[in-house]
Amino acid sequence: MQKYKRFLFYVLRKVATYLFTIWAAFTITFFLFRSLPGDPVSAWAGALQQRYAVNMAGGSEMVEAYRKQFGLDKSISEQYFSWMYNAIVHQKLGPSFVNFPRPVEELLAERIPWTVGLLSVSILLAWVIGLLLGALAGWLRNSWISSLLTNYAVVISQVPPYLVAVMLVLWLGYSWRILPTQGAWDAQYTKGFNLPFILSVLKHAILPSVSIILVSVAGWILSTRSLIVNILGEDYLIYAEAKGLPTSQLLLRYGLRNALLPQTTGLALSLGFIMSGQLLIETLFLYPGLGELLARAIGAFDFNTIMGCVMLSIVTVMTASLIIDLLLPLIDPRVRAVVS
Amino acid sequence: MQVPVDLGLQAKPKGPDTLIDVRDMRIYYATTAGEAKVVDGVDLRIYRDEIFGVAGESGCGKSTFVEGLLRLIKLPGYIKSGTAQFFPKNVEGKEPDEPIDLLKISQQDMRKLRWKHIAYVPQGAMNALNPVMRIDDQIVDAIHAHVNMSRKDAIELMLKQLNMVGLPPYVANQYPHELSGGMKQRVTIASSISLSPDVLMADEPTTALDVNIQRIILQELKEIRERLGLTIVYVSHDMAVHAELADRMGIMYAGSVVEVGTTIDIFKRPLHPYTQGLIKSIPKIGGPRERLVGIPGLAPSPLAWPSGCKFHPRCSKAMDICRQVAPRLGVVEEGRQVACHLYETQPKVESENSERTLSEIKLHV
Amino acid sequence: MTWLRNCWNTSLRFRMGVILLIAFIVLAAIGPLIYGPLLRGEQFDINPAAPGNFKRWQTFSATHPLGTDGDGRDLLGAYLLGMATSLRIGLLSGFVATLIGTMVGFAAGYFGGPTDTGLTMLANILLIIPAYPILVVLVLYTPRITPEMMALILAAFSWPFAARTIRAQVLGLKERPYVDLARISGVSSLGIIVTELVPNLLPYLLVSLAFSTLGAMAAEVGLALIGLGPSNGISLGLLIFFSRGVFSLGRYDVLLIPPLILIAIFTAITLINLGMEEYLNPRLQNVTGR
Repeated sequence: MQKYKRFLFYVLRKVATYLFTIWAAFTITFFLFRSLPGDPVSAWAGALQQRYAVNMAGGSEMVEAYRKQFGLDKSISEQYFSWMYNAIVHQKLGPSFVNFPRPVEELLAERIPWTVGLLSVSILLAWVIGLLLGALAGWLRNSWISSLLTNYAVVISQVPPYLVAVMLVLWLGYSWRILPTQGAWDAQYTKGFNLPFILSVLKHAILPSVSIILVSVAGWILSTRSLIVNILGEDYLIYAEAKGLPTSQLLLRYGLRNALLPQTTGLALSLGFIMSGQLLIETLFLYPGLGELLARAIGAFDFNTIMGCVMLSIVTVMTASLIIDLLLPLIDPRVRAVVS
Repeated sequence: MQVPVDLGLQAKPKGPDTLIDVRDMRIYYATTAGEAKVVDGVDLRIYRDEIFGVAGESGCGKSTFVEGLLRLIKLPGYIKSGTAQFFPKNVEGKEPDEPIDLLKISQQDMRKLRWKHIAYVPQGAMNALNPVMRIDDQIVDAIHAHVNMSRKDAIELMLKQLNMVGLPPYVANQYPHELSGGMKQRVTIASSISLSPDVLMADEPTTALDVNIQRIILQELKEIRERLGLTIVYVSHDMAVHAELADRMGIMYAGSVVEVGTTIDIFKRPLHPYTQGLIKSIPKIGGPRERLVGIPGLAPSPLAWPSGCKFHPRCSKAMDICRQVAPRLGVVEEGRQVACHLYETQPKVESENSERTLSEIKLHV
Repeated sequence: MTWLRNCWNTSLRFRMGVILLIAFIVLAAIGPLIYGPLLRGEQFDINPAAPGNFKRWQTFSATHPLGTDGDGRDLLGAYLLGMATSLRIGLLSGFVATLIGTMVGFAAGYFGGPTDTGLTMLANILLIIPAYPILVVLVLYTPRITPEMMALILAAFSWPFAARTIRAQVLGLKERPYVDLARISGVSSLGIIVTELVPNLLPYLLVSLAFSTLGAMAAEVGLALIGLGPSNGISLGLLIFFSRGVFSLGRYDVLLIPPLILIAIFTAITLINLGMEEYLNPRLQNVTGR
């Protein structure tokens, strides 16, 4: 009974931290944006004026009207509380600028499937490939295969994915013209569950996902390699070898299995960081995901949309790490021992 | 066994039925600073059904020697040369008396010999169990790697082994971190011999355990040997452990064996000056207070062994010849071998240490 | 500093990385000495990277060894200057982030208790805020932004990584007997930090520095790719940004050289990091030194 009590306490503490961190991160972001000079509407109007030389002389009333509509005429603390209230109670994030007057939550909902589809598949694939190659590089650590993999990983791992994307676009997209480099599907197909559309979607996903995979694989190779090399030196692996287990079992059940726990944690975290990392990839390929929306929102000083995206990102990251914290004691007997 | 003091020491080494015959075994490590000759010409014969103790200071190559016999040496280490003829009972696809050279067979063949014919308990046996697997899974997979047996039978066999060292059946369902150090140790040792191997190689399995548990485990090892007739090669720097456990001993210094004999002979009449030093540095209980005498100087580096006899810089009896010619391990008398220039002409010299009685040494085990 | 020498001796990767990085830094530092004499004969001998100074799309010549681009920049000069700016942003940001991170990590790890809880919480909160949109907005709103200001903005978001590493190391080191010994013999907290902890932390500080530098350089490119860079300056990121739309002209050198320089610098830093890891964790070494 004592055991369950302690576990319950652990869960409660994690959930409390989860809620507090989300709130704090959100609050910091909100006030950071609002403390910048000017408010979004005036900034936007200013930008319009500067860019297109619009005569705003008669527009100040219009600006006032918009300010009212966006609730910018109230004090900053009032804005903060009403934003929080609407977001939490009604799940409403206010109207957007970029697609005025569509509400932000609608825009987000429209784009989430694209981002999740493209990025989660790429990240998962990269994880699996990277784990296997990294295990190979660790297992055969004195072979040419290992040095090839390691050196590839060293060169690529820290390169931002968008640089790789630029080069891929250059070679495969423009020079050879074999793969589409923009958008998520060909306009001539009707959106829906039909084969030509799905094929078109897959074809458009190749370049962006390959650029993500090429880079993230490298990171997983390096981390898995050093995990495996460490595990190979552990007494339990030497003993397992002395038990006369076949090599495949040694590598899978004793090597990879023990590396899997930390790497699963890493995977969940990187899935959480889906939004921030790959924003530029979507922009580059004009892929209709969250990243591209965020880029446009930033360009247009669209405060509500930026806040919506940031909020969504914060919540995904935190949720991913909360899930790990709650699952880890169930998966790893050592963590379970500490918790209960 | 009731009284520990005399057990093992009185048991005479049984017949000249050789199990492992090691000749000129060399294991080198390629390092950036040059070649480290960690095992540098070991000659040793281990008989069936004896407990053979391998003693020596840390860094003398005793662990590497055992790992070499199991072919567990990893790069940058490699087996430079030598043979180790192994005469196991009924190995599949082999004539009864046909030897197997442990240093030459393929890794694939070696894999089949491990655990079934040569069991090994590594140094730090405490950490020999995979922390994220249940005990039963870790033992059953090993049994299944060697014999065709249903999971139920394998579990049965494992439980029998655990029971032998006094562990309750529920241990099988637990994870390593739920067991104490001594329990993990016993699980490792008991399960290692579940397929009745020809030999168990135990490399300091009891370090990091408190003296009481060490004692109990040594007792259990001896009982198992009495009952099952098992050959044990026991590696330890602790002379007291050997006094308690071993029938015969080999003393290693700087990568090679310098003295071999029955444990009684070695403690009563150590021949090699290094062995004499080792025995003198064991504290004794009772009698007048005495200053403990260690061996002067530091253990040499395997990157540059001293010329001639590797012990000469620390030896109080070093002669000119010792600095130039390396002594070979030679028979001094029946069942007694030593590698020292002192004994080629006068093989039966009386040791200055002879007045120390065995019981004095054993009291504080 | 013996650990640096050991590191150098143990790891080939470390040696390669250090040599490569130093080569880039030296190249960036003496840049003007390289392109200056070449351009002096021309009418404009001031800024090779300012647009419109030279005839556009020149191919390779003695004056312009790498030609000029579509805006009339001397490319050799622009690459060298861009390299200098990128390295300056990266290294400055890395230093500042490591400095802040170290102080916070130290305070958290060494004093523990509520200090630790508070600082760790703060670092965790900053870590989950998506930095990129905030950086973009901050850079957009900062008038006349210099490379130094960019470096500071970037550092403000990357110090929690350093803080996390350092805190973990301090927690480990604090348990060592020599720290207790120092404490018993009446050395002050600050004294212990300076004499006992810092020397042991240096390798980890260097790892943090390398990571923050990498992060800042990558972030600079990310900002530049949407057109945000230091005003009146050139950086490798901006060169990549300017070179878009050259696809059809066949000047692949203009497209490829800036990203390749960046990748080479990243590789150098990653090599150093990996080398340090090999040194700190002997199991990763192919051949042991002892």
